[in-house]
Amino acid sequence: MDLWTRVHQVARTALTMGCTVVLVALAGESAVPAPSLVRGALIGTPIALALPLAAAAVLIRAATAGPAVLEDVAVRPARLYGAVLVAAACGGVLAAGVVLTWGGLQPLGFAAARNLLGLTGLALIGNRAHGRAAATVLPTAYLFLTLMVRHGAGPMPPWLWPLADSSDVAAAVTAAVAFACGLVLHLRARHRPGGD
Amino acid sequence: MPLHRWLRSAAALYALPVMGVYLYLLLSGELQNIADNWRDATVVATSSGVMALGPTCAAVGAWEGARLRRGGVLDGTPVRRPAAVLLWSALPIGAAAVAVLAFAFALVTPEVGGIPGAPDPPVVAVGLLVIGAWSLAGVAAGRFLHPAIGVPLLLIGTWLWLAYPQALEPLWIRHLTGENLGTCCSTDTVLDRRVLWAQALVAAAVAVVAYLVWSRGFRPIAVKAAVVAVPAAALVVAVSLVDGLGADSDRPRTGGLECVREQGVEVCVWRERRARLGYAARLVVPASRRLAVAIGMPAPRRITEGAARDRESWHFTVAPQAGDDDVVFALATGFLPPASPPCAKDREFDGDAAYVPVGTWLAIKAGLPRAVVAAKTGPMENGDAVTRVLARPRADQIRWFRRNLAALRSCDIRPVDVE
Repeated sequence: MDLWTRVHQVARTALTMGCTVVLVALAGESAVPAPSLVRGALIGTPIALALPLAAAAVLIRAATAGPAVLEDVAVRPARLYGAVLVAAACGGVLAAGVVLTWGGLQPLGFAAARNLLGLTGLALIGNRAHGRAAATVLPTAYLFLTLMVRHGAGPMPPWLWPLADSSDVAAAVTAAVAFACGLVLHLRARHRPGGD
Repeated sequence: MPLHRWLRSAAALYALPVMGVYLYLLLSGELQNIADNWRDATVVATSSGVMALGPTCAAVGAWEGARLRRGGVLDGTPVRRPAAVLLWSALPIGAAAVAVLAFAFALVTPEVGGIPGAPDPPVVAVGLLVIGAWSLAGVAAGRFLHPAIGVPLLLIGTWLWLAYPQALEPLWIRHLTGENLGTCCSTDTVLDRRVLWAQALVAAAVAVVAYLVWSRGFRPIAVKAAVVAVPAAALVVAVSLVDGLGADSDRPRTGGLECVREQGVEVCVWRERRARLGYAARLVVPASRRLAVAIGMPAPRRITEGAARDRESWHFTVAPQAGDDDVVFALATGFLPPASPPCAKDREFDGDAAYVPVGTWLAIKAGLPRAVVAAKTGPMENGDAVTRVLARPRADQIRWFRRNLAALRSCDIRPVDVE
């Protein structure tokens, strides 16, 4: 198990998740101007909602690291270990997000944790579809697409979940569905000869 | 390697549509705000280019860097120098950046079509340097980071560095990034060259460190020293260059006037507006004589869009699409200070209350009908004050004007009869 934790960078992943929670708490409601296709103007995007993409990238890298061929034929359930790592990391950040939001420390804390869940789910789907090198292309593209097509005010449609606030139930459900799909695909994945 | 195979493996080719669409999104919101000069058009095009291309090229660079690492091009005995290897990998990124920047200029050119001038080469060069530097930073990061981490990290990191300083203080931070959107340039201003030097220095430092790290890794002591010393030195010099600047990166323009003599008065407009020089001269010279009589000053020898440096020079503007009334109104209100003095916020009375009445009085004295002036200044709460002043003897009116003009320029003088 020690070898597995080293190969799958468990310590680095835990550190990254901790740093993400701290950065989300520190970011407050700071926003970066980004263009909107719908509004035709720059709209502020909370940094706290974009930061989880970096955390999701580290997490997906950790979950998919190591020799895939060996893990496919291992006696131990290596894929399950990876899924547990992903679920534990996301669960930890989700708990911290709940504390941040409902403790009044950071209104976007739960939203950031929800984004980690959803973006990690998309990364796991991307990993299955395009291989692990390009796993994060799908969540990155999705996040920036939502930034470009949002309207900046009023309730968000469920598919714009990365930009919804913490109280948006539909956004939380959509992100959870993406996470569950990604996790199931990860558990059922098999190494593709020639794939990375 | 066959050309088609080389291009097929270039990530920049696949990212090109994303860069183009993102640039179009950024630029389309700015097109109608471009001032009637090529400096503003250049800044808008390059800044949008830097915002759209910087993060994307950095992410593409991270992918290319990881690809070179997986290919083992830096391991073993080298056949080609690292610079040659890097050049062939970075060439598609550079070509994509140039193509998208050309697209940006194709979008802004119709907005400034027919206006004399051309894109400002140093601004374009610094924009390309910034994009190139972050592309190299991506390649260097790709040597150490798996693309699943490197691509989103470089995308978000570069995006934050380019966009976030606009919302930060101190204000000079925004002048280091290469993104000058909204900070320059109206037709009477130019981009402060210190800003360009600062941006070029920071970008060059990023590029040098990125190349060293990519080609030699972190281990050599010289690289470790360079990673700390080069950016630190560049930052110290760059910050000292932009430290005194406010939110904007422009400064008043000193050259570029074209002049004509009209009835013994020299009338000058910016080169970009030379097509309207004769028209403006025929309007402002008679209006200036009426104004001179009204305010008790000698008639001007020079009426200019540039700086009016003495009592014989008056200031005016011929904005694009301005009609007869607009030009005369601009001449009349050219006497008003452009902004309140810095001490204005501390005074106990409202010194700015004189702006509208004095402006209205000047415009009427320049020959504009009262209804036209009211349409420009909006509904006046103090219209009666101007009516009362206009009914006074000429000497009284001149005293009223001078007292209130002094009140607008100073914090110690209280305006009179403005309500």
